[in-house]
Amino acid sequence: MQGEEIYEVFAARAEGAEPVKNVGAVRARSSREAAIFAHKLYDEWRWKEMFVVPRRALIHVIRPA
Amino acid sequence: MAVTEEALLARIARGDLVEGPEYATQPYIDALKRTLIVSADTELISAPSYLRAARDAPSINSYISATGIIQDELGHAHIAYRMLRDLGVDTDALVYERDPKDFKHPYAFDVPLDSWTELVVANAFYDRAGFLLLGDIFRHTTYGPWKRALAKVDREENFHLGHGEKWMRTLSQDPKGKTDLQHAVDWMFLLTIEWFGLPDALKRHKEQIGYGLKGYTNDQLRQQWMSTAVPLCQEVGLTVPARHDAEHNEWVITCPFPARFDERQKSPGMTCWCDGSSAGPRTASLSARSSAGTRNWGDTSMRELDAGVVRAALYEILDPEYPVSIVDLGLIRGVEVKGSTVRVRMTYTSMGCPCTEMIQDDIRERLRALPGVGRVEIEVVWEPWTREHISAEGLKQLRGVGVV
Repeated sequence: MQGEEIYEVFAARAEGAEPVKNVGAVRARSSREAAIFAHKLYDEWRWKEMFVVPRRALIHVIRPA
Repeated sequence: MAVTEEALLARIARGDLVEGPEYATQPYIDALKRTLIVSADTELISAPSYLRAARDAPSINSYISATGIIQDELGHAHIAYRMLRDLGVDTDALVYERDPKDFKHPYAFDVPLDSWTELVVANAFYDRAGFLLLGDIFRHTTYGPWKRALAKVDREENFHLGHGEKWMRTLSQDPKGKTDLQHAVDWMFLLTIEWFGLPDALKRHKEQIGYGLKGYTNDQLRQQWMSTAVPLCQEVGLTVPARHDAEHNEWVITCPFPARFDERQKSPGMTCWCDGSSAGPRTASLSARSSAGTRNWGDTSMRELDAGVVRAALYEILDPEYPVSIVDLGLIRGVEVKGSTVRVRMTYTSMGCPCTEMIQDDIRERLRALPGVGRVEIEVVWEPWTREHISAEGLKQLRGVGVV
């Protein structure tokens, strides 16, 4: 849809010492909307921290062989 | 540079995941898309189907539980559609512009769920099928992005089927509730049996063999489903047309099947597999639901539960850091089976191992999927671990990835 872009979702679980990891992606028209979608959609665990990052902002430095 | 079929199969044989279309061949991508579309459509179509029946919820609390499940299903559909989008598929066209007849989902979802009883049986039957099918993909698929995304699905589908089981046990306490359950089970049992698709011998999409998109065949998954669904029905006093054949160690269906289904009466009759040619366009999905990997994970599902079965299942669990089984790595220090309780004694490579919780979650998930397992107890014994504990096979695999 018009004006939408993909945001990658990163989060760390509330329990344990697991680091932040990529848990999925959402499509949204703004970072605020992306945050809401991510919060609603990725609710399988309790998280202590969550980020959304526009996919275009990710720069691939090393790719798998 | 284009990936050759040979290079792709070598990657899969090494146990390396396919991380995107740039690492795969067109036949692999086509097979993956077909499997993803069935998964996405099935999850999506379950939402309105469940919502219709949720209106019959006996209380506001149970209605909220049902809508929670429906929200999960939409989340699961989103995962599969997002995989498709990343493969270059126009998912808006797929969801909003496609002819409804072209949606690929099991025939069962063409039959409306009319009551709370049918909804909870759907949770216990359909979501169990989803749990097994997607759990198999979660554990075995060679497509990395899907494997990671399915952690959410695996966890939530398990909750859904638990919801169904709890309600079936509750409703069966009351004579009227039990009668209604029996009516629901009478038509829903066979429709879920059919959910797993054509028998292996009739499958058409043979090109997926070798890609390891999933680990078990349709027939193996159908057996796994019966191995827990039938005992559940027996426990609550319901009759289902299936029994365990001890001699051949398999579950057999004791009525004419495949059968044609009367949608209006919700009753199975006679005839053939819904293979897309005989039972209306919606069931064409069943032929697309094929796919079987060539990995031999060893079908432990039908054997009597013992320590050997448990070990074989544990063998499938890989260390998150290195692509080596936790058994070969020497982490498992003992397995005991008492009744339906499985007790695993294990250690880790170091006190600071960052993956302890992940490995334990994997163990619980895998063992709970075994027939007859009720409780999984894990004791971390913190026994010393050295290189000497790695098996010869484990060492070989670690050398293969340049670790030792």
